[in-house]
Amino acid sequence: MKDRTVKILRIFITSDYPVSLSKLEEEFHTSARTIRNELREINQFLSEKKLPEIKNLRKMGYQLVLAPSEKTALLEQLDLVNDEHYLDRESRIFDLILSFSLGKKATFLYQKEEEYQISKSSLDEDMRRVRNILTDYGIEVLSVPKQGIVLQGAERSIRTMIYDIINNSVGVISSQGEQEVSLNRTILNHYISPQLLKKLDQLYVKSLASMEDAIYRNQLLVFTAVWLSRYLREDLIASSVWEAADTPQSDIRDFVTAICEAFQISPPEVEIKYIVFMLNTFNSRDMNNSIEWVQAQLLSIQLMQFVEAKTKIPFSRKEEMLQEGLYKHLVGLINRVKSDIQIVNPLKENIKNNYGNIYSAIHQFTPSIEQVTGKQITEDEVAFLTIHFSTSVSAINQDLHYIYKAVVICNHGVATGKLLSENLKELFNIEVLAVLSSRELDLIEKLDVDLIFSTVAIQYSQKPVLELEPIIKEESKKRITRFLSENQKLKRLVNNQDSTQLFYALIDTIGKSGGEVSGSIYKELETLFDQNHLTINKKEIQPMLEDVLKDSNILLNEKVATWEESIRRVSEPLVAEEVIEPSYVTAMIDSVKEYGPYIVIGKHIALAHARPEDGVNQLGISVATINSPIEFGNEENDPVKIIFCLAAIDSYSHLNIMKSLIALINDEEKVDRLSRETDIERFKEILYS
Amino acid sequence: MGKQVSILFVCGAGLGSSFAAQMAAEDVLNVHGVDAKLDHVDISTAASSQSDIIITAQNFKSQFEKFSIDEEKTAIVYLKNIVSKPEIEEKLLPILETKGAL
Repeated sequence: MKDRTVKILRIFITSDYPVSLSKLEEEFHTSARTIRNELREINQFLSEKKLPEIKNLRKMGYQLVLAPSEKTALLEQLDLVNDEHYLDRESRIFDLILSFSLGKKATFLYQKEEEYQISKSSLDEDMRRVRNILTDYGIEVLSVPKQGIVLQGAERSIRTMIYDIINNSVGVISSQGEQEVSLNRTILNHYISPQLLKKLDQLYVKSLASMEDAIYRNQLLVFTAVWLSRYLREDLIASSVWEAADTPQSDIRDFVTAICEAFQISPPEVEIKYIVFMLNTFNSRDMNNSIEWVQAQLLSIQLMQFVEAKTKIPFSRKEEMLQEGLYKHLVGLINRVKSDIQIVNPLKENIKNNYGNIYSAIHQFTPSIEQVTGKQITEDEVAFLTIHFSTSVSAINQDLHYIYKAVVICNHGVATGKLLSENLKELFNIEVLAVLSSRELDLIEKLDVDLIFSTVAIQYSQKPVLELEPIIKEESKKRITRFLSENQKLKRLVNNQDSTQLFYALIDTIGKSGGEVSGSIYKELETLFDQNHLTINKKEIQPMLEDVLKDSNILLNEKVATWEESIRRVSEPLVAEEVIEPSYVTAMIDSVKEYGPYIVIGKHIALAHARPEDGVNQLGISVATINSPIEFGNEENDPVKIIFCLAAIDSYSHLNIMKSLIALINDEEKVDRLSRETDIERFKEILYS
Repeated sequence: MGKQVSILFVCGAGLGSSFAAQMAAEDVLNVHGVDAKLDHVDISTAASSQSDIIITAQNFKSQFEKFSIDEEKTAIVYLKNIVSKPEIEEKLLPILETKGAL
C-alpha cells in the first residue's frame, strides 16, 4: 500500500463520522477520481482481510464502521506496514534508545543498519547523538561482543531516561480512547505494546480510581510500563539500602500488588519499594507538574557526578541513597525557589567551614539548577544540598579502607620491633614499612611514612612521634587511638577502585615506548599514576645524589698511582656491596682505553661508568678524592682530583644524580674544597650545599 | 620558533657523559627557544642514527669517522668539554641556524 493509501485508511479508522470526498481532495491535494481509486484499493484490502468495507453514504460522504477489536487489529497491521517506511534521524534515535533499553533481543548495529536501510556513517552519526543524549543521564553506551549494545549506568537513571525520552518523543500517551497515530508512537508500540498499557490501565481503574487527573494517570501508566518492561528484562535496581524504606499500605501499593498478581511476578522488595516510591511522586500533591519530576531526577544525577568529579570523593558508591535524598530535596527546592520562598539555614557557616570542598563544588553547579528555577539559589540552599553529600561522606568513609604508614624505632632488637609492628598492624590500620634503630633516624625521610612509633625517647620533629612500650597494653591502645585521631589527616585511602582504565593506559604506554624507556615515558607514567591517585615515591624512582651516596661509598684522600687504579679504587665499595659486578670495573677501564679519556667530564672531575649490562645490579654511586691528582690524558680537564663511579640501571633513573654532578662541575671552587676535605661529614656538607 | 630538530648525545656507554652533555645543552637550547627532541645513547647505537645533529666528545672523532654517517643530513659536533655551555653555544648555534631551528 502506498503512503497516501495508508493515510486515507487511517482517517477512516479513526473517524466515527462520514468523511466527505471534497475534504479528502483538499487534504491530499488531489482529484476526486484519484481518491475514488484509493478507496477502491482500500476496499479490496479490507475484503481480503474479511473486514467491513468503506461505504458511500449518499450526501454525507464515506464511512467505515468497525468493531473496536477490528479497529485495534487493523491499526496494528498498518503499523507493520508503516514500519517499512523510511525513518528520519530523530525517530531512528528514538528507536535505537528504546531498542537498547527495552528490546527483548540483543541489539546489533549492523542489523539496525539493514533495518533502517541507511549507510554505516549515518548510523555512526545516530549513535554519536545517542551517546550524547544518554551522557546527560550518566549512562554509557557500550558495545559488548555477543550481547550487542548494552547501556551502562545506574538502573534508576536508565528508567528515568526511558521515561523522559518517551515523553519528549511521543508526548502525552493516552491508553484510553483513540489517539492520533504518530511515527514515534508506532515505534513505541514495538517496545511497549498498547495492550500492555491497556492492561495496566484496567488495573489502575480497579485500584487507583481516586486519582482523577488524566495527565498523571497516563504518565504513571507509562512509567509503570517502563518499570515492568525493565524488570521483565531482568534489569534490576541494585539491591542496597532503599532510603524510602517505608511504603505504607496505600492505593499505589495496591496497584503494584495487583500488577504483580496479574503478570504473575514477584519482584524483590527493593523493586516494590522503588516503584511505589516513584509512582507516589506522580501524586500531584507534592508537585506542580511532572516536568519538574524529571528535571529534579536529571539534576540530582548531574549534581552528583559534578560533585564527585570536583571533590574526587566516590559518591557513586552510595549512589542509591544519595540520589534519592537529593532528588526529593531538589523537588522541594525547585518549588520553593520558584515560589520565592526563602529558607534560612542556621548551619550555613558551619557547613562552609567543614565541607568547604563540597560546598564550593555545589556552588559551581548552581547555574544548572537556576536554569530550571529561573531564579537565584541562595547560599542557604547550597548549604542544605551540602548536608546530603556530607552525610554520604561518612557512609563512604566507613566502607573505604584507610591506613597509616609508619616506621617503628626500637633498640631492643629486631624481634621486639617486629612484634610491635605486627601488633600495630593487627589492632590498628597501620602499615609498618620498616623497623629502625634510633641511630638510623635519618633514614625516615627516605621512607614514605606518616607516623613514627618508638620504644625509646628520640629527638625527631619532622613527623609525629608516639613513644610506646614494646608490648601493647590496654592503656597504650587508648594512647594509640588518640594519637591516630590527632593525626587523622595523615591517613591514606587504600585504592580499591576499578583499575581497568589504568590497565589500558599502561598497555598504551608500553606500546608507545616500543620497549624503550625514555624520559618522556617516565613522565607519562608519573602523570598516569598521579591521575589515578597512586602515590609513587619519586625519591625512589629518580633519587637525589644524597639518597644514593652512602657514607661507606665516600673515600677521601686516596693514594693511587694510575688512572686505572683510581677507577678500581673508587668502585671497590660498590663491588663489596654487590651494587656492581667486577666485570663492570673492567668494562669501565676498557671503555676509556677504547674511546679515550672522555669520562673526565669537568675540570678535575672524572665520572667512571659503563653500560648497565656490563654488570650493574642496582642504581649506585661512589666517590673518591685523590691525594696526588692523576692524569687521564684529557688536555682540557686533567689532572683528576675527584672521581665518581656511577652504576646506572637505565637511561633515566639517575637524572637527579646527574643534575647534582653537573652543578658540581660548574662550581670549580666547590670541587677544590671537596678535593682537600678529609672529613666525611664536612665533605657531604659541601657536596650537598 | 623554528622547526623541531632531533639531537643525539653520544658517549661510550650512553649514560654518563652523554647525559651530562644533554643536560648542559638543554639549558642552551631553552635560552634560545629551540624546539628540540633530545636523547642520549652509546656510540654503537649512534652509528645508525637518523637524527639531525649528533653531539659527542672530541675523543670519539676517530670512531665517528669510521661510520658512514651522511654529514649532509646529520651534522656532528665534537666538544672538548662536553658540559661547557659556552662551547656548546659556540659550536651548536651555527648548525641550528643552517637547519632552520632558530
